[in-house]
Amino acid sequence: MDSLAHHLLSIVVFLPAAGSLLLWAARRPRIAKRIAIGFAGATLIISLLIPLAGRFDTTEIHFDKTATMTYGHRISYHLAVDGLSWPQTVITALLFLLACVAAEKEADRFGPFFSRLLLLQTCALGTFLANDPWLFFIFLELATFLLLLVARSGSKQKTDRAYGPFIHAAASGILLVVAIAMIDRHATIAPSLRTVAFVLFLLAMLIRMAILPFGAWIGTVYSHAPAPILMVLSPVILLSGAYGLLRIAYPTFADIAAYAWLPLASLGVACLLFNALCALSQVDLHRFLAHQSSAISGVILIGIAVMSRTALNGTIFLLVASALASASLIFIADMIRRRAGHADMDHLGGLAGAMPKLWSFSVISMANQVGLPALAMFVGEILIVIGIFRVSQPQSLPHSFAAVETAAVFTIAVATCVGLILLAVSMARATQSVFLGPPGVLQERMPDATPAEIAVLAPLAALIVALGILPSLLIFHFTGSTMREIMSTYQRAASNHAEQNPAGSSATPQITTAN
Amino acid sequence: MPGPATLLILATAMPLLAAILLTIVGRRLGAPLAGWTAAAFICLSFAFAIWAMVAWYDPQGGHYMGRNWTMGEQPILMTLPWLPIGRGVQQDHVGYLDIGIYLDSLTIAMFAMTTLVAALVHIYSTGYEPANRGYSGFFVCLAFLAFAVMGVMLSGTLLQLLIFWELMGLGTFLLIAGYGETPTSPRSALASLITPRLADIGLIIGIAILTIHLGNLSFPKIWATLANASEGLPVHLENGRTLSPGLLTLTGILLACGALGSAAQFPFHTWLKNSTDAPAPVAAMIQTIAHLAAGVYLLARLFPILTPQARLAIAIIGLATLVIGTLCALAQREVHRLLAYATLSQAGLIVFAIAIGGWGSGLFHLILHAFFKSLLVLAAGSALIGLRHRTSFAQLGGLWRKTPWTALTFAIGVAAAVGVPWLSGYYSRTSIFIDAGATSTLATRFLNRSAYYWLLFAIPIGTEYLSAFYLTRFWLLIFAGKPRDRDVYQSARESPILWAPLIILAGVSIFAGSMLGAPNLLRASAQESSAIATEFHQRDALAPMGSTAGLFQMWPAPPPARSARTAESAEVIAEAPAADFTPAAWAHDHGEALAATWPVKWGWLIGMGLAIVLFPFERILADSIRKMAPLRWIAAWLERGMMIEEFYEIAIVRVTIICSMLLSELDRYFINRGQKLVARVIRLFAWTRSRITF
Repeated sequence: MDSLAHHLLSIVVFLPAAGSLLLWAARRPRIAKRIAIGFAGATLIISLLIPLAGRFDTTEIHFDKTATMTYGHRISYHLAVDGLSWPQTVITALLFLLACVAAEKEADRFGPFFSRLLLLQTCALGTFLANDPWLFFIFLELATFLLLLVARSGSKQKTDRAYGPFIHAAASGILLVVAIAMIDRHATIAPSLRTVAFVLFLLAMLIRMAILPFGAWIGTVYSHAPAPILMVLSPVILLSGAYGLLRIAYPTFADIAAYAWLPLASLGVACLLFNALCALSQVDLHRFLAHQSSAISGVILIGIAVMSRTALNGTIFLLVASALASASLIFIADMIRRRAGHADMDHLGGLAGAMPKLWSFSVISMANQVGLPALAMFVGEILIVIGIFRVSQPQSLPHSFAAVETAAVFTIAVATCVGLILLAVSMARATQSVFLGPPGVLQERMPDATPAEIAVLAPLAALIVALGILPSLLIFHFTGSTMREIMSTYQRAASNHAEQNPAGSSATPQITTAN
Repeated sequence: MPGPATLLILATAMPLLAAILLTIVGRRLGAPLAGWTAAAFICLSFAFAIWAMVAWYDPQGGHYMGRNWTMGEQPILMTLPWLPIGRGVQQDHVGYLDIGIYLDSLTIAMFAMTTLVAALVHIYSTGYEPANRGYSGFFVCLAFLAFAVMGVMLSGTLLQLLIFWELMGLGTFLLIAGYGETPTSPRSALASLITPRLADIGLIIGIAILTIHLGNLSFPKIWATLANASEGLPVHLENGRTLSPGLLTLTGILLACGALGSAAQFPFHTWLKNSTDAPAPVAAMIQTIAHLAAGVYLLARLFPILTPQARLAIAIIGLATLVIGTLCALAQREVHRLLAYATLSQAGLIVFAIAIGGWGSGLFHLILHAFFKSLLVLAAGSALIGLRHRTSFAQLGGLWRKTPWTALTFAIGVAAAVGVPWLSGYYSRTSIFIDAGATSTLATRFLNRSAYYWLLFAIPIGTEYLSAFYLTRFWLLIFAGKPRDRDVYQSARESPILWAPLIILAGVSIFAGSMLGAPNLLRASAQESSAIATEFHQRDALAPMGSTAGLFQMWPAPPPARSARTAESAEVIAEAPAADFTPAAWAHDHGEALAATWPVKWGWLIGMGLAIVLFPFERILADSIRKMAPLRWIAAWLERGMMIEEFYEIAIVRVTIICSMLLSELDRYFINRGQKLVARVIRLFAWTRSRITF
């Protein structure tokens, strides 16, 4: 039993790969879907069992503390799970299972579709469970390029713009290689180089998270990729970006990050506002959803940047919630596109009357996306807004900056609220133009959600409601001690930095954290 | 026998159950049955609320979750940990932000009011809502709205209140957007969704500030901790931090902002007019028990922590709303809009009354207003149901022959609203005027404030005349005189399912002021709140607090010595027997004397009389106003709601839309172009030119 628990994480990571191999060998489309669902389901169940195995107190499972990366000069195969990575692992496993259920036509159009999907799942799970920066990098880049390739393979478009996502991914990858090479010896390099390493890592992750100047790729992917791929895009690319920051950059460079909180939070706010405003005037449902995803990434960046425990809790929750939200919205948009033949919001309308089942699920997904309470996103967003007021800032700043800091905190909190409301407005407008109003001739004949589609929508809706009502029981119960550990890592990093630079007490950064 | 807390939780659960049930089987139940199912659930809810009220009146009190409760002494408070926010000061559950229920006499009173009106609105809707489009969906949304409102009333912490608050917004949006009756309803739905949300920014920021300082947001806790705020003093926290009066004022105003947005107060009031695009039952819910009541309820709960400056600011906002509502109502030429502005003026009066320390009278008026205003809105809907949205006064008139029951109940509603003696509105209005008089007296005679403080008394009195005038004229224009439009007159009809609830509401509107004991409950609620605040204060050994007496008055009672600055107050003090003299009591007596003078007492009669006398000359007067240039402009300006909405349209909506379009163009051209450019450059330098195939 002990040995099984010891290899539990490896099983989680490589079970989908085994399924992929099997499917690659036997290519019969009917059975293929069932086999894929079986493997993805088994992976989900095993990943759900991880906290139980945590009681065996093996070396890799750290629900009582944080799993710190093992830094060295060579790549080692080392997996670990803690309160930060476990929710991401489970949500990734769940979304891949639902993507398998959702895949209908893709199976015919893309050849060994399920085989690729399961291989992608292995890479995605590996990203979250890797406990070595190089291993993390390998899984991350494999997952990204695999996803973009699968997403690309269905598209007829051969224009230059279609290469955008690859260019972004390549740029991110190059920055990441350099950054990880520097981080690997972070204890020995010069302080100025540490800043460079942090900035490089940050840039790599901001590109992945589709933060403001680097957000163009997501629209391209959203408008062409098949729905099952888009459902897993959020955990594979967006979440892994935020996860990389929380796992590697922030604990290692907490002292630098504390200085960077204001620019980063401002960038997050700018991203939120920009995308919320853009979403307001989109007519294409998929582009609209791309802007929504990007905007939520901005909120996540704010939550990471302020480095307070409240915001950290909010961020970890929002990562899970936004993955669920975007998956369900994407699936709904795809259902509409397949039925209507287009996704132009101006030419839809009245679907609530024509498709009452779909409407019931859509209300939950859309209300979740606008941050309505008692649904999942609200929990993350309100914690982040409260957390902004508990920002961990370096105390070494001159006292006269105190008033400026207070004003900045206030401004960022208000701007975040304004951005979230703009986002809600755009979602409300989309709801109106797609679901409400008088139904068109075409819409009258559109069939309601089939049982197979409900099998995808219902678990997502149920989970969104459950997470929104019982956030502590489902998430915070597992993440609490890890979050505390991450906060103390932040503080330790700051104090180590202070020891290395004893000269000039005024320049000594100390992080104040209100727990 | 289950305790009141259990019963009210059951009462809250009923509409939610109805909504879930109808979502699943609503379509199969079909047209009348789905509506009756929802109505039955809400009636059950009303039964539970009344049962809870009976249980609450038990003089022995009882136990709930390990706490004793007694009416008038100890309320019920139960909290559960919900959100992990990290360790803070003064948390009931360490590391967590709580949700929970808080139940005192005010909750009991609000539940009785809410469930009664909601039940009648549901019954009315079974006959009102046309059976063809999404009949059961309508009742799902309506029941959901009722559920959210009851959740707000039962909330024990600000966080839980925020949760139900936003759910209420969703319910309203779905009802207006999905079932609006006019072509403008999509826009209106967005407006009534967004405007209160903008106000909610204040609520959320206020909650965040309180959370980081207090760590716990249950109402008794914030009352106890911030008790000094009500006297304008700084608050010293356990952990050594001090909250300055400035910060407390800011926090108070931010929190109250949410309440003001929901109660449709001045800067946020425009959405109320838009919400009248919804069907009459929905408008009745919004204007009485849903948004308005929830907003006022939050303000009432926040009142103890507001600083005197914040209270004054809110009172001024209330007055502004009162004036805007009254003046605009005078110039309206359409039924629903007039009702919306009438509601606005009443809401302003309620908020004003609460802010000046007439806590009990303001809430009393809220409860009575719920009855007579829902009566008016539903009766208007009943009178106009056959008219296919021809609701301008120019087309109505003489309808009493076709719709006698509606005309009668409508008249009772008008009489109750303008304060005809011994009908409901009379009691609450009088008590508001007494409080306004007392506040002005206190300010000018004992606190050395300027004579402008008499406006706090004069403006509400002035609007009383006008509201009596326009409401009477409103009834006359619809029901009296000769029909102005034959076709409209012919198609008017009424049906028993619509006027039966109206008769119940009319009965309640007549007797609620004197007989239902609402003032007792409100007085008991103030005592309970003070008692639990004091108890928490002693339990947690907080820094000494002045007294809980200040919690429910606008200004802390000034000591006689300090206030004897003006010659006049010195004279008063010299006359009074020294032993039991307090400025507040003296001011209250003076306020009573002021409210008993004839301009205050007979204002309703003057307004009504004027309306009746002028009614035969209605057309001549209207024509002459239309001809005289400055009057015409003023009338048009008032009819459009003082152009405030147009101003917002230009200053906020247009600007946002333009920004949005500019940014998406920017996104489309520059950022995507950049992407293409990079791709092209790479291809230029690629060895295998255009051989890149993925």
